Amino acid sequence: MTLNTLQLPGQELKNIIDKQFPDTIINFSLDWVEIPIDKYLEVITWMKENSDIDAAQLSNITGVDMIDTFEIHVHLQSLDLKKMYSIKVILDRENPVIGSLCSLYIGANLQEREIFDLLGIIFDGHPDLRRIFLWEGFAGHPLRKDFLQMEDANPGLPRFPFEEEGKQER
Amino acid sequence: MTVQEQYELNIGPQHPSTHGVFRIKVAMNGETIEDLDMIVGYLHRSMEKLSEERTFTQNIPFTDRADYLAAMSNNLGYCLAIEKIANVIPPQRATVLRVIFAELQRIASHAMANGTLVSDAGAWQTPLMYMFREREKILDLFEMTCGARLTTNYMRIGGVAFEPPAEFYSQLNSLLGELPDRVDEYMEMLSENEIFIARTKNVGIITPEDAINASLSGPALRGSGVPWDLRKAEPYCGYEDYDFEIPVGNIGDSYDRFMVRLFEVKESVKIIKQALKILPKGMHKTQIPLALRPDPDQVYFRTEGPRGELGYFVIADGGPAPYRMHIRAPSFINLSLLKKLAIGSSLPDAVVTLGSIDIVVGEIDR
Repeated sequence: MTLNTLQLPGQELKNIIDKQFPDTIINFSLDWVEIPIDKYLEVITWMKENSDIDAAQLSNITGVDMIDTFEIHVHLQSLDLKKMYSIKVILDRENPVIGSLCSLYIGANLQEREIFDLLGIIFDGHPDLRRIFLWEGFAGHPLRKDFLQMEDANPGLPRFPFEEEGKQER
Repeated sequence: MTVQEQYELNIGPQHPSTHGVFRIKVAMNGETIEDLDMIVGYLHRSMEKLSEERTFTQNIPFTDRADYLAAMSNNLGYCLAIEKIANVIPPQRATVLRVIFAELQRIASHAMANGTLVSDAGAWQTPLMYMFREREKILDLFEMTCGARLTTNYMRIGGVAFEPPAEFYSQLNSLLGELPDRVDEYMEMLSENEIFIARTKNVGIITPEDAINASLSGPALRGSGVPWDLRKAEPYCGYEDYDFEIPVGNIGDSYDRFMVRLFEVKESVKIIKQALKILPKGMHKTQIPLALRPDPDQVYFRTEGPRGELGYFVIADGGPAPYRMHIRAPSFINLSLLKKLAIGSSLPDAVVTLGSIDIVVGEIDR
């Protein structure tokens, strides 16, 4: 895989953040850097205010269930410098609480409500943390991997018919 | 003496001004909106969860149904994201055909957006039907190519599904000949129209700072004067080789967003004309395995859809289905500012503001 045109490589982003927050970056790859959850708001506030990074816009924020943990992926971008930054945070599965970006970006409000609704991650400091797509009282959070699967509720076709035992791949 | 007190007014989910099953609860005091709460989810089909149960190719029809007014653009964004994660390179002919269809879709989508905006502003149905006239011709082109008008399911991972028939090019050329005149006709009809100006000028003003901070994209961002277009900023499908402008607005009101869309139609016509000139001969599709298994990786790929930044965030775990697929839906995120814009304005102005932001509920709810 190659990088997107605007994306700052993880190594370069690590070098920039290291200067301000030494020994903060836990891990990095070609396109993302991982920051610890207790530094999450501090680093992003600094990235927004620092004119060399100028993360003026929150492009996307989303969550992933990694079975043992949750991950939050944040994509920030600078429209003036034409750069995009990709940040990853790992959350505790049992107690998924993370700070809210609403005080920094208006655009985080709806997206964080969506993550709360579908994954059950709690955003500390969010002004209006309610379910958004599903109704109040809905049992569970559908995007979690242990959410009741369709086959369990309603026996039907297997997941991938060609993967069944004894059948050759089409 | 009359005592004014706050009362609650419910609009939707079934109401023409909400453009779909979208519900707004407003707290009003007299004619002024004091609070707004939007209730979405009536069209939630949990696409992101369902996509984890289906192969990468089987997910393409879902993207049609996310933004059903811009199915081609959504197909394109998804296919480009999967091609990136799976290292599939489409043939050059497919890339140019994709540009042609994505730009045709942009024109059709903008015609719908502007038509319904004018309809919301009080010009009941006549301009909408004018703009549907052009949209209809584009949908005819889609139909003769892939058999469907709205949910096209035309793009494939590694190319496009079908070669357009021979009569496609002659019909497309005659459409391209008349479209700029049609746009001029709309401008004549509306841009100087006193009633339309009174309803849209200085209504729903979005400052550039707010637009950037609220993650707005597409015409809603460019209407505020921010020249940000991913086709220029982060070119895909060879957009860097095409010559086109980014129209921007002045003050960011509903009128500016309307005009940005009209000018973008002209720019799209320019792009299609250039694409037809460079359309090479050759294959329209490469062969990929039916059960495509990309290496474990993640990708966030963005394209410029008619409504803004359309991003696909995909995580592959080596299996035949995505481990996680997230759609960054521009209509959904463009609604971030609706509450702020509506508070303090009157209800008819809020309806025009909502119309000028141009939402598609299928994409909001996914």
